[in-house]
This record gives sequence, C-alpha cells and structure tokens, in this order.
Amino acid sequence: MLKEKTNKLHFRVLDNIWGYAFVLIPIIGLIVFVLIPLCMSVYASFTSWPLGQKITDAKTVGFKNYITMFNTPLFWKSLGNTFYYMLGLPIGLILSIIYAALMNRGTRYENVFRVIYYTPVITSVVAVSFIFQRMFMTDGGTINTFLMSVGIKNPPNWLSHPGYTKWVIIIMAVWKGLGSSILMYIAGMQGISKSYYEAAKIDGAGWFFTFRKITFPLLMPVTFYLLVTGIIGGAQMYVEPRLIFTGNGPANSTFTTVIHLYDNTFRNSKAGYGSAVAVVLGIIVFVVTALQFFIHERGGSLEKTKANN
Amino acid sequence: MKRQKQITDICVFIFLALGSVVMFYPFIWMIFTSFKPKMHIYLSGLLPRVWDFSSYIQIWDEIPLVRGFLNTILYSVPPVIVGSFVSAAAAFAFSKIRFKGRNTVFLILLGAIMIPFPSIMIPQFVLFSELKMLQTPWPLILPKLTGNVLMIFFLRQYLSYVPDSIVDAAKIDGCNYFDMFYRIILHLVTPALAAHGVLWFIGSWNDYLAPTILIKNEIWQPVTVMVAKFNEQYAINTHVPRIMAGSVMLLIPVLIIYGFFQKYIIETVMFSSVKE
Repeated sequence: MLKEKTNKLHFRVLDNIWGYAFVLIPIIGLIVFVLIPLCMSVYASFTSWPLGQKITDAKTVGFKNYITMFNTPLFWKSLGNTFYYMLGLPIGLILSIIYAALMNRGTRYENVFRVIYYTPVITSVVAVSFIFQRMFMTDGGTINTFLMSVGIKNPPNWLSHPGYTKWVIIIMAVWKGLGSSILMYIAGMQGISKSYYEAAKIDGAGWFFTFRKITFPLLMPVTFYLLVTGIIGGAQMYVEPRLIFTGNGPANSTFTTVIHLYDNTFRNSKAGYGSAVAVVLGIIVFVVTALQFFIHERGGSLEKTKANN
Repeated sequence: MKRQKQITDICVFIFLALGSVVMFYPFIWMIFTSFKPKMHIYLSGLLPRVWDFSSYIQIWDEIPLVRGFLNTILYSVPPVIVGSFVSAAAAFAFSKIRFKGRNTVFLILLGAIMIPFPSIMIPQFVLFSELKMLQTPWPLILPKLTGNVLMIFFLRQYLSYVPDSIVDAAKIDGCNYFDMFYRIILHLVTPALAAHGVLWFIGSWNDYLAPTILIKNEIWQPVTVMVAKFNEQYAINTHVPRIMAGSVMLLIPVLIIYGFFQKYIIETVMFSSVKE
C-alpha cells in the first residue's frame, strides 16, 4: 500500500520532469525570441533611442514618441490603409464559401480543383507581387487588355490612381489566400452531420434556406478562425505594397503601418519612434483578436441558451 | 432527377474550370512573358512570337543564384527538420504527459501567435547585432530550431486522436517517455509531421521581410531577396521579361515540391483546420 503510494508520487514527479524537458526548447525560444524582444519594444518606445546606439544608453522621454505618432498624419494614413486592405477579408470569405460548397459535392474532379486553387497559397509573395504589378500595367497589362476587349474604353490606371492602387493589392491578396480558406470551409462542411440535411430535405427546405439555417451557422467556427488569422496577417501587410508600388505609393495610398515602422527605424534610425509604432500595432492585433474571441464566446452562449429553451 | 444532377455537375465543372484559369493564368503569363524580347511585351498574344532566352542568361550572369539557392536551402531544410522534431516532442508532452501547469504553459505559447513579427523585429535585430551575428546566417536559423508554435498546436490536436491507453500500456511495460516518443509517437505523427514540415519549409523558402532585416551580408542573402533586388532594378526601366524570369526562378522549385506533396498537403491542411 505504502509502496504503491510512493510509486505514484515518484511517477508524478517524473511526469513533471519529463513534461518540462519535452517543452523546454520551445519555451526558451519563446522567451529569447519573443518575450524579451517584446519587453524591449515596450521599453524602447519610451526612449529617444537611435538605431545603432546601445538601448541601455538611450534617454527616456516618456510618452513623447506616442504623442508624436498620434500627431503624424502619415501614421494615421498608414493605419487607415492597413484596415482598408482588410476589405479583402469578407470578399475572400464569401468567395471561398461558395467555392467550397461547389468543391464538396462528391464528384471525381474535386481533388484536382482543390490542388489548383491552393497553388497560389504556396507561392512566393515576392514573385507574385511582381507578376501582379506587371499584369495591372495601364498600357499593355493583361487586366486592361482584357477589360478593353470586353468593351470598357477607359480602363483604370491601376498603378497610379490612388482610388485603384489599394484594389490591386486587395485583388492579389484574395487570389492568393482563396485556396486556403476554401480548404478550411470544405473541412468544416465535411464535419457537419448529414442528418441535418436529411431532416431539412424532409421538411421541404430549399437549398438557400438550408444553407442559411444549417451550413452557414455551423461553419461559424471556421469563419471565426479565418477572420482572426486574416486580421493578424492583414495587420502585418508589408511585402506586397512595398514591391508593387515604389515609396508610399501614389498620394501615400498604399503604404502600411509596417512600412511606416520599417522606414522610421531602419532608414531614418528612429528606433524609439519605430518601437512605439510596433507596440501600437501589437496592441491593435491583440485587442481585435480578443474582441473577436469575446463576441464569439457570447454568440456561442446565446445560441446554447436558445437551444435550451 | 438524374439528368438534372448531370446538368448541375457540368455547370459546376465549367464554373470551377473558369476559376482555375484565373488561379493559374498569372503563372502561365509569367512563364511565357519571361521568354519574350523586351520590345514584344506590348504586342498582343500570350505566346512569344520569338523565343528569347536572354533574360535567363542575364539573371544567371548578374546575381549569384546558385549561392542564393544554397543559402535558402540552408535556412529552410536543416532548421525546419530540427524544429519539426522539437515541435513534435512538445506536442507529445502537451497531449500525453500529465505535468503541472501543462495547460497554462500551452496557452502562453499559443498566445505568442498573436504577437506580430513586426512588433518584435527591431529588438530581434538588436539582439543578433549584439551577438555579432548579422554578418552570419544564424539569425534565420536559430529561431527555427526552437520549434514552431502552430505546428505544436496542430500536432497536439492530431495526437488527441491517439488513445491515452497506448501511453499507459507502454508505461506498464517499463517504457520511459523518451522511448515512447521515439518508438511509438514519432511513427504515428509522421504523415502530419511531414506535411506540416513541408508547409513550414515553403513558408521559410518564401520569407522576405526577416532576411532583409536580419541578414546584412550580401553573400548570405536568400534567393528571394536577391531576386527582389534584381527585379526592382529592372522595374525602373520596365524590363518585364527579366522581372518575370526572376519570378520564375523563385517559383519553380516551390511548385515542383508542391507537385510532389500536393496530396499530403491538401489532406493535412483540411485535417488540421478547426474541428470543434
């Protein structure tokens, strides 16, 4: 009896040691490459630290960097642009739910289409940015040649008119991300029990009603996941506007918060100011994600109460 | 009824096929344009009227592509292999070893996904600069060696389908956790591990922002940065075929690897998506 107890205790201690031994390396990685840098970012944002000097020698300046930032129109412009790009998220979600429904009908050719639609996801954003830049050229670009051939006489100056520039990037982002969200939705759809659809069929529900009342609500976790990851990714938009447009784009129409951060830090050496932008960016991502979790939780519990009544 | 289904099938097929054209056209356009002479890019027609290979000769002459590819391989093969095993070990512990604070540690790790790289890239730059590593390949290798949080998350989910009784049985047989991981778990997760490893490899292959900041020595630059520089230089005088030749060099290796692994990748991405 006693022996068994010590044995159990022995096992529990061993479990703790083994457990932490197995997760030790990722924890060290987290501390060294994420948490310490994060603390440094927060600290640096309160200093007038010029890049190249030691951060410990930098003078603390209180909230000066934040005040400067909030009074810099370019910062607000970059933030506005970053959020504008997220218009691509709902467009992509609607398209991918349609395509997912069409690729989940049990036909033979579906797998081929899944592979084709996923291809842009795995390709280099650097390569693709240059391709889209050239396809959207005003004269001789593929897009405008096509638009003219279907009778649009004055196709837009995609790369130089500030009203269109953002849409080049949105179109590209939707094209590039579509395959990934399609697969997520297909997986979600395959998880929905067939009995729901059979019941709906017996009740004589049409396909749109079935979609609205069964498929769409049951896919909410997928939509939620795609929105969260989409916003986290969208807030970090950097490569596409940097490579497709030079500088900040026509009339500052394409540059993003990360470009603002990058240029201030690595081109103008204002690392203190850059850190303040980095902190605000981090807070925005965190708040938006937390907010979505909150809404999702509440929505979930609402549904449960409904079901219980 | 059956006839109606056939008609729907054909309509859906045509719709999806049209979409496929949109999905693939940029790549096809890229390949054909890269073989056109500079003056021909304004001529109509997708196919080149004259096949001109000079853009490729130019890019091989002008940038050390072989070196770039070797650098990229150095950044995306050994670190990803090591990091994948580290991630698998952690996923095993989070899923099958009952240690104190397991869920808390897991949630803290998971929370790190919410911290965007741009928010921590300045201190990372300083960190590697202090360690005198900006002239070496280490800044793109070291962080990967410590594993990948998303991979840990997905593999943990994968392992939740493996019954705990396997672990308990192995324990009774006197198997320690390392043997258990090495002899049993690793075999079970191999398909998922391979597919996530390939996805991570592709992500690392395509990486652009981190190398522009953390690699300050030109000979250590990965091929993405080299090609981007080459392309930006020709964007000024709109030498489109050269830019496209650069893009072809970046895309072809990844497309070939995707071709080999597509079945695995598609299945894993679908399996890994949110299931609850």
